[in-house]
Amino acid sequence: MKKISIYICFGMVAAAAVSCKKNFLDRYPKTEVTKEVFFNTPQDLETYTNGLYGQQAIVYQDIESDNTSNYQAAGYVDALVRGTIKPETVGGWNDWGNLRRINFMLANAGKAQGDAVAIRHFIGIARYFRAMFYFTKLRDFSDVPWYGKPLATDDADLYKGRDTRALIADSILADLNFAVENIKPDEGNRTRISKWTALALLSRFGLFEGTFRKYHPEVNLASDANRFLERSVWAAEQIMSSNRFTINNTGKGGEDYRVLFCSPSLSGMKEVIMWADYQQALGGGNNTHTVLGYQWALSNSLAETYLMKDGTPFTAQPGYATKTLLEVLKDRDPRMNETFASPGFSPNQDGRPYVTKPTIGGYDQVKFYPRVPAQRQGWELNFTALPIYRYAEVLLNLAEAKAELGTITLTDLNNTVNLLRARVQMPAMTLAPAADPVLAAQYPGVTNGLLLELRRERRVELACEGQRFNDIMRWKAGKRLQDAQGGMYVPALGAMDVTGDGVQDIAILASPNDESPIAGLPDDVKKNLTKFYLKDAAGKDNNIYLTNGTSGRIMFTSDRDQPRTFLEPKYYYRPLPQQQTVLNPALKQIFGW
Amino acid sequence: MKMISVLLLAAIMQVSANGYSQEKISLDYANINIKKLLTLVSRKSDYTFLYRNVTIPDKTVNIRVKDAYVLDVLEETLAGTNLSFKELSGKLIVITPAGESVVAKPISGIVSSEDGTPLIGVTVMVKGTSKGAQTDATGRFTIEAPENAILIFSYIGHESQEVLTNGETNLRITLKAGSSGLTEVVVVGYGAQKKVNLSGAVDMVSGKELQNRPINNIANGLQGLLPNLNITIGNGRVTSNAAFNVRGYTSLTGGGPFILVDNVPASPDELNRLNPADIENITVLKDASAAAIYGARAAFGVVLITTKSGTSDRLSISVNTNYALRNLGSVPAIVTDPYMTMDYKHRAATPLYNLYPDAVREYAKKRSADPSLPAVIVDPTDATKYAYYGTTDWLHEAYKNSAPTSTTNFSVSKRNEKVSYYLSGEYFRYEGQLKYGNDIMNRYNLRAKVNYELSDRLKLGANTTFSSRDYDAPVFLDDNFFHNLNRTPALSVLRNPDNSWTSDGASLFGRLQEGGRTKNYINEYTATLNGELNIIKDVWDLKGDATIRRTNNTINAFDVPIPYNNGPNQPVKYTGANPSYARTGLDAARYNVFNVYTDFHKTFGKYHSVQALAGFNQEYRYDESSRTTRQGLISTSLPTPQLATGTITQSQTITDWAVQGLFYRLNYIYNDKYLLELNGRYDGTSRFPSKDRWGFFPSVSAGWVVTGEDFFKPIAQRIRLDFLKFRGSYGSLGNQAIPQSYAYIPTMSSGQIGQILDGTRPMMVNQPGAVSSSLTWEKIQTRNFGVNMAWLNNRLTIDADIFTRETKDMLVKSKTLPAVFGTGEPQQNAASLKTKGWELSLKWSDDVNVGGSPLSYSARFILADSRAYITNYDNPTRLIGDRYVGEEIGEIWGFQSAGFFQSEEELKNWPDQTDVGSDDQKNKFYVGDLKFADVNGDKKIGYGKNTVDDPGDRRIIGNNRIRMPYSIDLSGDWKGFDLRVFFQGVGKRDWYPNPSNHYFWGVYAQPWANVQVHNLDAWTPENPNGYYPRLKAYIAEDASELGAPQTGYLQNAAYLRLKNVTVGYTLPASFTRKARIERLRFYFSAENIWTRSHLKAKIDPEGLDGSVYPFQQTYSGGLNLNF
Repeated sequence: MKKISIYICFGMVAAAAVSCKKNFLDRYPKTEVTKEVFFNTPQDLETYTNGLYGQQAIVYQDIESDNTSNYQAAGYVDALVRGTIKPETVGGWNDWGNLRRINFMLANAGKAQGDAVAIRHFIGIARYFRAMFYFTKLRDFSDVPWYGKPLATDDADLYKGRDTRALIADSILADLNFAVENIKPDEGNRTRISKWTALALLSRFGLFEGTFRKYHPEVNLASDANRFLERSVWAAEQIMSSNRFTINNTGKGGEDYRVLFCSPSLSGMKEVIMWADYQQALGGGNNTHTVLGYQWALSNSLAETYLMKDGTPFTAQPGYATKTLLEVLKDRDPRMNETFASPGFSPNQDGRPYVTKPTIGGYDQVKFYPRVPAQRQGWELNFTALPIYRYAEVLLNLAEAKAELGTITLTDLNNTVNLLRARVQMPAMTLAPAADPVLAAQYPGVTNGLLLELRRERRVELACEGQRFNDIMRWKAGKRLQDAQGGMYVPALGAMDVTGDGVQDIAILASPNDESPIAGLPDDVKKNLTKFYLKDAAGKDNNIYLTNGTSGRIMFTSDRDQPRTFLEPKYYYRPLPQQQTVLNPALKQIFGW
Repeated sequence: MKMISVLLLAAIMQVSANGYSQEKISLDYANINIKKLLTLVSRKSDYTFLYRNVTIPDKTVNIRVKDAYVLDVLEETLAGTNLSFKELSGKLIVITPAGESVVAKPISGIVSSEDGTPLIGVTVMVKGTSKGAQTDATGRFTIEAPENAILIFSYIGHESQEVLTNGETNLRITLKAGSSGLTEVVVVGYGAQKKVNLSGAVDMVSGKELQNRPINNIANGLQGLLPNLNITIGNGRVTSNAAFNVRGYTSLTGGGPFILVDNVPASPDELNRLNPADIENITVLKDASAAAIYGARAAFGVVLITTKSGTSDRLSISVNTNYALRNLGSVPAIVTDPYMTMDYKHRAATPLYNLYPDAVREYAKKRSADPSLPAVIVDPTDATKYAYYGTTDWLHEAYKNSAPTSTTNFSVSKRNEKVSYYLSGEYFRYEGQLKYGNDIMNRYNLRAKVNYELSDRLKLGANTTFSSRDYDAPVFLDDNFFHNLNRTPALSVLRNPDNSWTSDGASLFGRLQEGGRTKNYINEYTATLNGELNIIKDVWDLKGDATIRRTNNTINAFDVPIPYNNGPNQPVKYTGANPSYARTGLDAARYNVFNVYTDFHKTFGKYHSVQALAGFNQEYRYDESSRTTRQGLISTSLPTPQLATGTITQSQTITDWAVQGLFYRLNYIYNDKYLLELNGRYDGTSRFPSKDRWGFFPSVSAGWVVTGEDFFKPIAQRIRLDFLKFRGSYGSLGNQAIPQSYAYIPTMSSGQIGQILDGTRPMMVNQPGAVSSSLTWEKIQTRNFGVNMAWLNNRLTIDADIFTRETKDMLVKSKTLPAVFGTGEPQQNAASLKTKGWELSLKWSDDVNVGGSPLSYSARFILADSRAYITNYDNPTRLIGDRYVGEEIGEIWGFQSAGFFQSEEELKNWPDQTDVGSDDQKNKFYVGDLKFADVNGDKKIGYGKNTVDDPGDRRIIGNNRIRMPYSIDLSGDWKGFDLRVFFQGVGKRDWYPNPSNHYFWGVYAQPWANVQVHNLDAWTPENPNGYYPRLKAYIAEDASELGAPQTGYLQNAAYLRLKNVTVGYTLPASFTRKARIERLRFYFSAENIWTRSHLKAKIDPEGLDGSVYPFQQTYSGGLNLNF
């Protein structure tokens, strides 16, 4: 027994000694990589850039612009024009992680070995995303600090002030030039970034910065505006001359336009330079069903912008301002019926028409609304493809840039805008149209009839695609955001037909206590009426009113009670959150903030 | 030869303490001495043998019996001798010379204390019987006992005494004052110590405190039992783990007590699955000196759980069963009247939305007046849709009023000279509270513990447990079910007129009932092998143990879309998982623990007692987790990835860590008066880079037993102080409680992207977070001063401690960097905090005579407190929201409420409140809205620079930490009845409901939330002094307006809760023994049946979030059976 004890005793001591071996406490990750073992091959770079695609903006509404009748209460622009945006409470300035992610790759990609073309291709993609990041920063803040590398905690640059707009814009240009030079022209099914995507962004950015400098004297860069417009033209011409893209025109008019926004897939669609794919089987859906009748509608101002079918301005029609919903939507540019829910539109394709909601204005958006019920399965469960860059925008960019440069020709118009007009069988634009006084009033300072018509064309063709806010900013048309945007016109209290079948569908009434205007209607009509009241039973205002009291345009009480003001130039720029200026005193507010 | 009989008696007495049943015995001996044989018989049976006037003849016999009755064996043994025997009641056998008869005689006497005072209420028992009496007011007693019987005298606060009557009929007994509880042995790290000799802050509670309570797990039972062992239970879900804390706020990085079961570390999850009936006792080591031997992980206390072992020579079998019904606890009340609901929601949403247009409300008004009208009609504003005018109380509809829990456990244990064993098993079943698709848990536990003495010098033991738990719950329960439950309007109904689900019905209960489920099967096997070698017997031991634990959790989950309709003749829509999927997963853990240590203990001379202990500990843990999900089930009745056709996604995570440590303890005790203890540990961890990996953590403590001093004894006697000890300690410990295994290595996460590129969703690798190059231990320095007292013959015990704990070099994010940094600030050892607190325990216990029977009762009150302050933090601008030096942990910065605007006049003249307005409401204020006081007098209400020096109009208005946790524990037993009443509470706590906590704010958070009954008390011109302001949605969704902390809505979250009431009755032994049952007890026990709370909403004070699995009140009955 004694022997056993001794053995056990020794065993314990031996075990203790063995487990004391030096590396027992060295433990390393097994299912996560570190940069030391990554960024070695083009494949690594591709895997990393895949993660950047989440930064690509995809837009299907123009909520924060004059294209919408009732700005979302919580939206930035809505708060801005009501004077409630303040450095103390403003958000934003918190997405710098996106930049760090890009810069982290750019700082490490140098060690990758292998196909040099492929390596440069993925570096180009990263720089494309960096250009996009700073483009948004430039739009919102003008001068911002430029960072070309991931920052360390003790980096002095953390505490630097703003760099100039000139430096930022040139840096964006440099990134885009690199991207255009190095990203491969291969397109795949056009869901990845290609050379053409980079060119499309360059054409958009060049036009933005060129016109911004031209129209915003406060940034003091007007003399260096044309360089950007010319770069925009160059980029658009590269895309055009590649012959890879065409306007989708099969002779079906409005339908050729519609399929760009509500098809299950845009694979093979020649007009699309890049698009976002949503497939139920792969677990990715969008929220496009919310465009129709959810919380906003389109504005009367947008409705009035569309030309008549014959190419004349709607605003030249006698009594245009008192036309009803049904009258407004008649005989217009076919793109209007693909953007506005036209009378009789049937969401379930079963003949039962959609009944508009005057409480959000009455002009409901239908562009991007998934037409097939099976594509609309619920919140974030719509399965339609969404365009990110369209060839049509590139053409519009080119026409406008050339017009701003004063170099536009009829050939240019025919190769650009008139292709879009032709698709929807609208008369072609001419080189020197008369200045529409309504448009001229909207863009004070612009007298050139062609420029005004190009702005109309852009607003119409690209409605709800997220361009309108940028356009208002660069054109210095901020006063457009000051105007309260109304909805449809209501000739009188009582019942109205909004579906075009001759039977009244809704009734707008003074209050639940006074239903006299519909008293005389047949019971079966009355039974199916949807009733809306201007005041509730207690006599309190509801959220809409009519401009003339018992008739007139639908307007929102919030705009009456809290009018909008657009301070220039202050409101073209965003304030920095106060905390950031406290943490870094070198970072100063600009333009009156 | 009488001497022999007395010695023999003593020997018998030692071994037959617990004998009862009249079982048969088997013997097979040749030439055995009668004396030896009698000893054997008494040891193997339940009888107590008394010898009267006899000399056992030195004679041998042969005996060979199988399953013979004891009395028959005796008869055979004594045949041919001049002895005879007689059986008395109470299993007494008196052996007398043949022919003598045995009679019971009255014996009387007087019992007094050492100083001669008669003792009242002393219990006098005839040993081996249930026959008893008590002393009267003069200390006198009378009892009938056979000659030579042994009487046992026991009295609270005194040492028990056994007296051989030896023919005497008038006894004079003096009882010595004992130290009662202080002689207890307390489990401490790597050993045990007498409580009287402890110099650290240590508390112990017996496992009996958990017995018979209808608790789901150990944490439920431990809550409130020990001062400053703070256990918080966040919700009523059976699988939820409680949070353990010792002595308040620990560290900004977190960190709780180190919990060990039989000296093997256990996670809260593992603790959750332990069989509560296995527990012998629980020790909490609170200060640095007591915990230091566990080093780096013990900075915030140690909880040592020791399981039962075989202790009795007699075979002991115990069976316990309990059946409980749980009633639904606090669930907020919501308004269900259709018109009222619509009206309130409409008013709240105006002017943002026209939520229920007048036309819609019109019908609601009719239906409110006439509930017989249908609840579902075609929408008056949209003929394609149904409109719902229901009165569904979703919050109650979701749950059953009562659901059962049942537990059955058994144990078998025994010990003899060589072997002891303890075997136990448990089956626990819990059926959840969900009315639709209920969650169900089953738990099985088996434990086998064996110790074997190979020789005088060598002991070996094994402790093996197998624990298995399966839990089957709707997959949606882990999604946002509890959030959506209160956001589903009472107006909605479950089903449409055609019996299809409604949208709301489907997305709540449809998903529970018909949607997917998650089944978890956790199997855990722990085996410890331990050995002990006495190098020098009773002086020097070498001990070692090795433990392996393997845990597997198999997860099978799936989810399917649920069809619903939202209008007549509409195509079916789906909610839930779309497309369907099935998932399999495995979480596997390997955990190895190895300890070897040596223990030297010897008393030199008369007074110098020395102990030295030193050892080595090593642990390694490896966790692997993998998931495979495949979409597109072929059949929802066979939900497995094997039978799915869609996209497969997979993931795997592996982490591991290791620790090593060398530890020691030196103890010196002089004459049980002066105590000195030194502890220390040198610890290494894999979680830090190699240069920062090792740390040394020493501690020292000392104690002085004042009552041991001769000079103090007369004083002590005069003031009736039986025991007084002062203790003090100081120590430095470490904390490595960073959640990540590889925090110092910047790793890059990977996964599948959400976008579809060229027809697939490819993989991506993300940037790493910012990581500090140097990370090391947080250092925790604790000072403790304590006192233990016993008064009034140990009836009253008082234990108190005060402590200061400084947590230094806390791993926190470095100072807030400008946002352009682009990622979270890295963790650095950069902050310190100080926690100060105290704890107090008062216990009174006594025996009195009530109605001729002894009533023993006790009352315990415990109270504790702690507060913590930041002493170092890199926040030069003193931003609020970041930590700053001087900050008290938990402080709430808020505005001063000033009521409501009652007139336009007032509104116009009030300072500008735009900055605190809700942006959803365009930062505007109207009559009836909240008014804030302009505290800093700058004519506007705001946040200033959001720094401590310029906080705008905010001041510190409260603190959300739990303060003054207390409990009251009352128990007593009398004539077989026992009663326990246990209260637990929190004395002080403030709570400001989080923005968007719609269980509290209701429609003020979002108009989609239900109208809470407590929302009804809102401002209107007619009710200008309502609790809430004018109905206004979204003002409590963000931390602005109502959501901004302010004095007017600060809640008092203190509470008092009747945690447990148990009433039991033990059948008289004389009755049960006929059925060969040692003890049979029936009891009734109830948990959480009464609560006093001050919250404005009907939210459980322990589950303030509201959107949690509801708490339950439990009523149970059960029985304990011991053979």
